Amino acid sequence: MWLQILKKDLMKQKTVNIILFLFITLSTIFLASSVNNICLVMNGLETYMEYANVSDVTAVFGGEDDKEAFERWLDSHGEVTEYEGEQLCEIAPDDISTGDDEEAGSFEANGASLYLGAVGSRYAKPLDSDGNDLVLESGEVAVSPGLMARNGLHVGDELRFRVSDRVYTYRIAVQTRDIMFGNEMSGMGRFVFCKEDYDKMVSDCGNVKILVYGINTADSEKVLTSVSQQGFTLLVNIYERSIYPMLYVFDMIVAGLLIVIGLCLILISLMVLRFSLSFTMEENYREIGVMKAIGMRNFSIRRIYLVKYFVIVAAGAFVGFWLSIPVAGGMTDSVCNNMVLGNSADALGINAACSLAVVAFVTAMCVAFTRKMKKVSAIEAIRSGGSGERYQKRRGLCLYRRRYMGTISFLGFNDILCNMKRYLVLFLTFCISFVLITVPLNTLTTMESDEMASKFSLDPDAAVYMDTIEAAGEAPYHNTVDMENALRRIERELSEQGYEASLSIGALCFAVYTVNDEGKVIKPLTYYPIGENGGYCEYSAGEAPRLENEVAFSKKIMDENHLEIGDTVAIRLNGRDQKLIITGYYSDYMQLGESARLNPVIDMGGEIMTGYWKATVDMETNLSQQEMADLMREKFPQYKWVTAQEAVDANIGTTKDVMRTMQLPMTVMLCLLIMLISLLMMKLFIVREKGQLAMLGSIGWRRQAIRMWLVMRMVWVILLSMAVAVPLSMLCNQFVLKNIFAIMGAELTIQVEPLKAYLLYPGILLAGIMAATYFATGSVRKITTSDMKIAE
Amino acid sequence: MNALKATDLCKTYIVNKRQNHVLRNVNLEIEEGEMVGVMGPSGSGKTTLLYTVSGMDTATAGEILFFGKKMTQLSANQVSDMRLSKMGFVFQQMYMLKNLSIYDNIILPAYQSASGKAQRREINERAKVLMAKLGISEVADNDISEVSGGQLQRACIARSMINNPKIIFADEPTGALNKQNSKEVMKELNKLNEEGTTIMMVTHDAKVASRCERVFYIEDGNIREEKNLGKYTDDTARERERELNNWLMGLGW
Repeated sequence: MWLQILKKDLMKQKTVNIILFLFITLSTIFLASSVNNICLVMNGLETYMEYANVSDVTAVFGGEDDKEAFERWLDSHGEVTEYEGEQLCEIAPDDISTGDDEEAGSFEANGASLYLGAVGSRYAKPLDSDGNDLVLESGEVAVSPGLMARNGLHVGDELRFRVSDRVYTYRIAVQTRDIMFGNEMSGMGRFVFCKEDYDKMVSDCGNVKILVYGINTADSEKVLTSVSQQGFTLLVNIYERSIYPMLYVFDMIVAGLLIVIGLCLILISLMVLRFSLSFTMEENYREIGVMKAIGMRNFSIRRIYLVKYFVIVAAGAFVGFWLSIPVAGGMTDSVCNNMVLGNSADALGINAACSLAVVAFVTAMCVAFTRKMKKVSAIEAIRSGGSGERYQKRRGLCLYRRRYMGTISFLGFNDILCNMKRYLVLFLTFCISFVLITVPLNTLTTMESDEMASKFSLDPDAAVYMDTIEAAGEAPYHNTVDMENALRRIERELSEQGYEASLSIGALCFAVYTVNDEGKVIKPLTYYPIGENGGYCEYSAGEAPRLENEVAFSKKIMDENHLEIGDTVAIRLNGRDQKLIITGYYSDYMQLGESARLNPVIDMGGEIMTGYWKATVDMETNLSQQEMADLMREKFPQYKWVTAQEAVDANIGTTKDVMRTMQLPMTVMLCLLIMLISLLMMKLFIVREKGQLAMLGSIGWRRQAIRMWLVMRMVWVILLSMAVAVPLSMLCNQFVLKNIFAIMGAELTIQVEPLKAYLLYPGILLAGIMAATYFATGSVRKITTSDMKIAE
Repeated sequence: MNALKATDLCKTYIVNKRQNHVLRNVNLEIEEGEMVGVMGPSGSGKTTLLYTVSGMDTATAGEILFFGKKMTQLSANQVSDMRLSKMGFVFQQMYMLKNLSIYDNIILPAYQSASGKAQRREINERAKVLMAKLGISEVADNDISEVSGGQLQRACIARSMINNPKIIFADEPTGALNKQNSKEVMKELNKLNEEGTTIMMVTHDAKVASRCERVFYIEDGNIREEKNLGKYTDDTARERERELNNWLMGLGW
């Protein structure tokens, strides 16, 4: 008999059962895809480093002259367990052209140094998108996603490389996952060829060849310190394995956001699931009472509901499991673009585990709920849990006392006050959604702010910036004299065209400093100003170094090394130590907050510079940076002109683009999600309140008025959620976003566009929720007077 | 003048592709100020007749004139407005919004059609008078779960009266009440009728029906006969009840 009852119940309460099924499906999708996403992203970098076989220490030499001496030193050093060096050949962007463009210089490197390399690296290997070692045939090249995206390239396109006046054409075969050169934060890019092609191209070319050593050691710190003391003149940079995650810090912003989104979705899905389950079960209270009254045993009644809910949850979880696979894939795609995030078999397992967790959670709740039914008497169940004698005082307001409130608005508000628990889930869901939508919005606004530009040592008030200062055909400059000459040359060229400008630049090198009496050595990125505005920086304390024996450090370096203004450090220049006094400190994003700034008068002529930061162009103009950049591009096409914002964008890689691309789908997804939740919730409320709605219709309320009443409830919930979401969003800015930006090395004030963050985007959600609610209330039209019998 | 006139009224439900003719060419006229009862066996179409002539349900065929106005030609909104402002409803179950107090439930239909503070003040005054008249002033601020069935049904009558309707439709108004409460409710309905309100009431109870001026007996969707009992007075209550019972027995009740 109970099977008959079960069958009838499934059919009779079709709407409620379908809604529950949909909620379970939805919860499974979000739980599975979010957990999957969190697991993948959390372990993502570690997995990526393992796949790429990143060594404990990486040393980069700007030429091959130190090769023998360095390898001898490595062989003799007791702490070094193994090492391997790899040669890379530098190539100027002007020497690369894309397939359709015969003209040289069509390649956009975004200021990055480009290198040619061969497959077969042992350390920091370039991989394919599945994490496998690259396999390339002759005539094929592998390129990192950032360079491909920036140049609109696809697999199958052709690239032309001009090396020693010979042009080689290669077909792009693979998009690499290159842990060392694949991220724009590194300021480097690599083209990978098969060994034969590489040798053919670079064997007798005059381009600079750099050496990258991967070194495994038991004590990285010791190796780092002793290398710095050896005085290898061509050693450009040396760093530990721990620096790699820093290269992906901007990708981690996206990943971090995905984790936040995932956690919120899990929270929402569990809340909604619990609510809809208890709501639909309460719906059955009366029937439970009737069955008890006619003498059915508790166990038989429990079995009916347990089987019914198990059938629904199993079906919902099954559908949710399959749907979660593409959803999880879509969520991680944005991060996967730059990394290798583990294998998909694990992902499938996580999805399956989450689906089973949903089944277990719902079944456990059903067991708990049906256990309660043993304790209630038949008559209590018939009275929907009440004894008929004890009534809880209503928490509502009085209509006749609300003089300035419309009846419909009042009813909506009063309903929320009387059934706070019922609307709490919706309130929290909306709150979380509103906060969630402001997070990427505020991140983007901050990334586009003047403060962000100044944290990258870019003066927002400069007329325009130059990406490169080399003349056509010139190799990249590696000493300050060339750079200074180039600035004067460009000033003359500008002057000839009627633009009186003053150019300045920050030459960059990794100078060696001894920061304490114990001989602790650090090798931060050092900024050497050339020109009037070359030292632009907002100092947090003290002032910029001016005299020959002055230096300033970033706050991070000061804190890490317990330095204070007035302390003395030693710098090793031209093979000898020189004392410098610290005059101030600052906080910026250069080298993730670990940098030094030298005075402009110190002699750096003999030092090899790794490159230079953007050249600042100062001149009298009423044009904006963008207008100026456009004008200069037209007048002086031989140089690359950029705005401060473009320079920031170039430095933070594709993160901003990913976030901007994510923003619309995320808004749409969130909007659709909460629209669906609102719609289903409203349907549940209508099923439950059919009697009241029918009564209002029968006493002459227009259907439109009844629908507006229901919509008005949602409007109140939304307004209350928005009121709470605004301060919550501010807290989120302060405690979440600020900390995410701080990972990059400096503190930043999170910028908010109030109109967008607190009006436009929540407005979109509000409109979506209202539309969904209004649509859901369409079923009010089908309610007839006979439905009055279904009183709550 | 006819308060309500139904001509050849038909109502057919289609259940599982089968037609169920609930009302078959019903003709009836109710004069303004009259109090009529509708009796008949279960499933005869009494409630459907009440719901159809009041515009709560649509007729399949036929014509309904409400104070001379063709209801079948009005839009759904116009019918709703008419129900809100010119009709009052009392149901067997005391349906009220559970999130409102007794007082708020009573004034709700009037507030919905009112605009402005002055009108609201007027409604409040009217509600107070009505509640005093029906003897429920002391439970005005109570929740609907805190009052007796009789008080709740009187509150429903007060709600039906709040917009000064021209007619009250009552569907088994005493069906869920005990004898004492039934008596009180019927007394109030008679009082309203004496004041000029037309009442159409569906009931199973001959005692209740005997308070009406005329009683229709409906069977298989048709009005089989009607009984004119004349104006109700307390003195003639027993005689009317006996007369009605005899009539009903003659009809096979």
